[in-house]
Amino acid sequence: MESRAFSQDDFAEWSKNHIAYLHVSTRLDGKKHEGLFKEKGFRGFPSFCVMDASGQVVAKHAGTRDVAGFTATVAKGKDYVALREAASSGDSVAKMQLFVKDLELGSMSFARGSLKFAVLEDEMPARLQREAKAHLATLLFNEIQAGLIAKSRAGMDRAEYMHEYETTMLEFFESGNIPAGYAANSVLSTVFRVAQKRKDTELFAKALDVFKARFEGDQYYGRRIAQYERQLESMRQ
Amino acid sequence: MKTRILTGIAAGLLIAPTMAQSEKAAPTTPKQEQKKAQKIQPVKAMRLVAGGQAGKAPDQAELKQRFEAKMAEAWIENANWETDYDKARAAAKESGKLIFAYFTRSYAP
Repeated sequence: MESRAFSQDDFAEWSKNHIAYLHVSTRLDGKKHEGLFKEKGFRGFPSFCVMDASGQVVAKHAGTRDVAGFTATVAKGKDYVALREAASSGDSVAKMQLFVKDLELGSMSFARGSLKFAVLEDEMPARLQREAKAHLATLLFNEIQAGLIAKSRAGMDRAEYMHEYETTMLEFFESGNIPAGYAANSVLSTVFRVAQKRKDTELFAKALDVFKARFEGDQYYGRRIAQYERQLESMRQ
Repeated sequence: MKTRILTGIAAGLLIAPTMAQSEKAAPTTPKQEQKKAQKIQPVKAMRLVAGGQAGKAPDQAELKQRFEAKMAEAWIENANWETDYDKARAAAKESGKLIFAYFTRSYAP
């Protein structure tokens, strides 16, 4: 990845317009800022983000790993900074938008986000409410998943882990709290699997409806719709 | 709706002990933030967890060697990477530029 994306001449040129910061997690004792990766809310390598001068994450990179993709992420970061300025000058809509952005960036825990949402909800436009709920579901999903993985590391029995994982994913699905973005696939693919095991066509069909609503036209998952449709058809026969 | 959210908070508090455990969890994910969310499946997560526990952990001397090898990779020379977090923030403050941060690791491939 590094030799491809960062060895290009256009990246060298592009990086001059930003402060290119490289953080290497080493597991070396006493290394300064060793824990920064986790402090910024990342869980997998490699990760990229845009930060302001205080170190606050203002955008997380999720696009292509090239100059065009990095430029788009920096643009998102600039939008965040502008929104923050508008919010601090008293713009109430900007405040709500900023809150939703902070949820999206994972800048707060699920519990804190839920408390703030309870305060702001009544004033929020319906679109922002929907976005906030999806991001809250993502925060909860990430926290529960991290907890499950930690339990597994601590020696949880594999069958027990699988059971708890599937149960949790089903609870997300049944509660209607489908996480935003690609985390939704983690929930839905588990529901598909469970529905197949149980031969539960109704559950499979419901999951497929949600999957379509989320991923129709998506470059990664859009293609899977036809495959799931065929599976449903075969379950019905 | 508020009731639902508060119920959610209660659920969040119930999982607090496991969340606390997760603070100690090492990264377990695939290569990209997007892909991380899409790819963590139970079996895969279990495999990663098992992999993390298997074998002897490298000692500090080996970790230092791995770090030095990482920092000697050719791609680092292609741009003016700042590796000191405090200096990066100071430079951003002085220049008014945003920080583009890349997080990688040397302790494992």
